[in-house]
Amino acid sequence: MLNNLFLHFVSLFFLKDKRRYLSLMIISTVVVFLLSVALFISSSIKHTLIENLQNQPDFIVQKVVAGESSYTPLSWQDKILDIPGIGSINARVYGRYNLDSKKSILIIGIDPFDEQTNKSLKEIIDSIDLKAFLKEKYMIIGAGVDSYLKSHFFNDYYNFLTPKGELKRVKVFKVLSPKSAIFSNDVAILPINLAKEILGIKKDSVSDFAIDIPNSSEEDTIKQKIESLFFNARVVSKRSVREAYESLYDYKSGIFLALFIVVLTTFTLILYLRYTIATSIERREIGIFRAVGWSIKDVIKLKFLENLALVVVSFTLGVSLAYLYTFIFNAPIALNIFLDKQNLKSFATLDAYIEPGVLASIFIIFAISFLATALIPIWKIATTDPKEAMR
Amino acid sequence: MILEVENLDKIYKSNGDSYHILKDINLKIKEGELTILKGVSGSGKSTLLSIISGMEKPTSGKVELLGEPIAKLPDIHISHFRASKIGMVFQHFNLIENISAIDNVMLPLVPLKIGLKEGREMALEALKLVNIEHLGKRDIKYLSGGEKQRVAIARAIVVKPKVLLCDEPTANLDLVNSKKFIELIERLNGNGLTALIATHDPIFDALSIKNKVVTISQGKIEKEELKNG
Repeated sequence: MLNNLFLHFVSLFFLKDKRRYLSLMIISTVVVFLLSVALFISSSIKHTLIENLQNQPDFIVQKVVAGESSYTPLSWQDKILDIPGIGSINARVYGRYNLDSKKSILIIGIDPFDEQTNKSLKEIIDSIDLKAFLKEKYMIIGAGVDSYLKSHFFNDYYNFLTPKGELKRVKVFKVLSPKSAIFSNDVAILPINLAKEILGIKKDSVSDFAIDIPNSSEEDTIKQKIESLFFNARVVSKRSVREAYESLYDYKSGIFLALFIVVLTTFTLILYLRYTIATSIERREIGIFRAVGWSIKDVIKLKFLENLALVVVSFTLGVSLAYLYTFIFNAPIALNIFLDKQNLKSFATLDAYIEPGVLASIFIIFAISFLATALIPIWKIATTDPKEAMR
Repeated sequence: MILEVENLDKIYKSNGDSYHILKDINLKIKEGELTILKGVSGSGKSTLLSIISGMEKPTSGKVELLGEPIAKLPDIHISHFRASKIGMVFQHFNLIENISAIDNVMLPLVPLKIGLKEGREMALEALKLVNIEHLGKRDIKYLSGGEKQRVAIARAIVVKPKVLLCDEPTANLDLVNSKKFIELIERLNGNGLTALIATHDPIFDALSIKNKVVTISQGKIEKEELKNG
């Protein structure tokens, strides 16, 4: 049990060495901050993408020519729909359009009257006045596209050049909220036929088909049937997309973790040097404690509590600052490392989501290495002759 | 008998060489006795005091303090024993500079699990005994050499030890403070405290009370004599 005299000395020695502890606390806070930012961003993006994936179709089917995806004949739709077990099939039209030599946007064509339109787009469609949207050549654009157009003096429209050499003037109907920018930053949603014209897709073709399968146990069988029906079909399942997302962001946070280990090792070395070389005063103090009757356990207990206080303060500060930086200030600079190569200025915002266990992992990684580095040299001093230590 | 040392030897080994610091030491001290361990620098007095206090282990021989085989006790017991039964005063005071006098005096009370309030009272009482209770809140770094010495004594007596061990206590004091120290020791010894003082300072020849002088030279006890007996 810790009595109040012992706690008096813990606080007394902690405050006595406040300058030394302050410098250590600053370094520790930076280390915790870096690790927390990396893990917060990766877990937030992964969470958002996987949440969104719930609204995506179970399968995507597209035609492959020479190993590359190509436009898919619309005639496939009925044949696929004949396969038992398929709930719905939705023809999708999309493709990249180059605004200039470096910037491109993703054009998505929608048929607002097609009930099979996928759920995530349906939310957008439900929020607009369809009558007005279809009245003229309109588009709904993401925040990044809006920013690009405005910077090029297209305040409320853009002139798309079709493969036939025609200019299509399309007006901006609505700008999507930056909240959805992780998905919609570089997106322009247009009526399906207009999108086909701009992308050069024939009227009897689409980009791919989105398929929903109510009974998930039939997924593998249906995949095999589609592949046997069309020798040149590629079938991508939601499961494989999910795995790709997970491995991508695990990989990115893994790189950060590796970098963090390098930082932590350096930090540990600094701490080790600080405790083994720059501690003549502390050595003497420990010698005095031992000379007046403190046991090795008493000394370790005092130093453990002093350093634990430092660990807790640094951890709390580091994590709080990382939370502010990541979720309130939207992780400037760091976010771009985690998102795919952005060709338009990113307006993506992060959902304040922290994976359960992430905080505990940060604390364990940091606290164990810190306390071990701090306490091993203390233990070494405490076990030498007090007379020797006091010299 | 408070202290019994029998056939004690201490050999240091360094870089393959051996240094025989204490040779066949035999010493007995009775309760309430004031013993002066005299000898020049390097004669082995400080090493003998360190072994008696349990801070160092002998190479061979027996040390019994208050009936406990101090050299054979495990760390946790020896530390508790030192905290509760032995008071130590060092040549360089060995106080913690950046904390107050009263906090320094309270240090030995931690292993005895004494509470903060009671600890403060005990420390104030010890400071009062050495006449510096008014300096309790002052940091050690702002005290003079004589005042530091008194804080060191207060720390040594705060637990009301059975034995007081002093290692060259006047080496860093001027004549006035050295005399004050002697008066203090005489007073504490008069109250029944057993004391063993290792010194080469001739000022201890002028002690007015009964004491035993043990002369040590090149690690061996040369003679023992009673004074004012």
